[in-house]
Amino acid sequence: MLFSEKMKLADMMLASSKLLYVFPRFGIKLGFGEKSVSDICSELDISLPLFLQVCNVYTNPDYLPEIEELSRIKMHDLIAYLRNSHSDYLKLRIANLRAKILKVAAGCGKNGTMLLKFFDGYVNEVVKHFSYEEKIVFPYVEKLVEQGPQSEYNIGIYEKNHTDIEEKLDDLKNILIKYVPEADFSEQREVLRELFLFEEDLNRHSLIEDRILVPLVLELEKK
Amino acid sequence: MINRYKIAIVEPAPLLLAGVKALLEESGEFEVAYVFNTLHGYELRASHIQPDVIVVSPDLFDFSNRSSIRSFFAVPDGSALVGLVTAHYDEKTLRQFDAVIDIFDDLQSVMLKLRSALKLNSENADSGDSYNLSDRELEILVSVAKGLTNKEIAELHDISVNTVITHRKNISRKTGIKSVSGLTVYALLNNLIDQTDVE
Repeated sequence: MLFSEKMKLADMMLASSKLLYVFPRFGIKLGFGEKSVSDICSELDISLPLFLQVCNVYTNPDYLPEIEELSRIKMHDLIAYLRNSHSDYLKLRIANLRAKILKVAAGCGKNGTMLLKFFDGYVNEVVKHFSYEEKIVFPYVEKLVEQGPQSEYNIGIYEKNHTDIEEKLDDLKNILIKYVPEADFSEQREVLRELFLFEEDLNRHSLIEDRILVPLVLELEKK
Repeated sequence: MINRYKIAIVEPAPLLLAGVKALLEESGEFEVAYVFNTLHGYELRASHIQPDVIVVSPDLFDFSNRSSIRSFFAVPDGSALVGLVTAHYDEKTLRQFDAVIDIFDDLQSVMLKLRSALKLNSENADSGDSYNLSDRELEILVSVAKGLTNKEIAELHDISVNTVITHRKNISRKTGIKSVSGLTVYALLNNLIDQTDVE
């Protein structure tokens, strides 16, 4: 089932808990009562087509939006959303995770520092991945919108380099599940639960890039 | 010559079958004890034979089954599974074999590949179950965790780079850890190395 502008926000979130992380990136705070999608979009000046497509991709991983629907999205709004998501991951989600890893590491004796170092290595890869998008891809797309086709870059390069940052996350899960003995009062399960949620959310974020950003940019490059 | 390794070949093409058989027997190290033209022919006899090596072409498997050959093809315990390839296959298909010989390989490299497959296989068998790391794999893991390159590891343990890569694949498969830094954490947590080894 796809969401439409007449649906109530509350019903959407009840139908798909993954939206818990999506709403705040649009500035939507809990306590929205009976408001519908179109109510909140006009109230907070949110791009309605973008909001619906993001919620739909997040909820239905198999959903492939039509290019006609996508073309109602303003590139500027999409990029603002992606930047918002990045800062949400780095400032909130990862910071939160790190605080919990720190507690698990404290229970690991002398090997704790290695665990933390490994996590920081993973975070570094995520930061690099985001900063490539923010410094190379997004400015390219903005220039493409303003000035037409550019010769120095194309979205195909991005698709090829859409790097694999899942490997270390998988490693971390394996290490925590298989090789770190759980101490009393440990936060290990909490960390794992957060890691599973984080991974799922990050995968949906990649889907937004692959299913919304890339097709839109390909359209622009054709012109 | 003491005990020659027994080989079973499953290959429908008569010329290829004859060629591989002749090449392997020329070595004196191997005896082609069983030949089959079809998978079905092999399956009928599979439970009665105990070859050290089974050579089979990935071509014999439907495309949809190719990524899980071992679930469609009974390999007796202790036998090494070797692929005989005549065309290009994706890595996922080839990874299931203990070794892969190409029709363009010369006798020497075929021998090397078969020997390393036999060795890998006996080490896996020694470890009792295939989820725990063998002693050899533990040695390789320690080298990886210390930050040595594949080439350095090959020289240190006097094995080929290809064998190092096979060991590393098995280590990652068993531990679920792929990155070098992850393997370092694993080695530390299991007291295989000391903090000072990686600083």
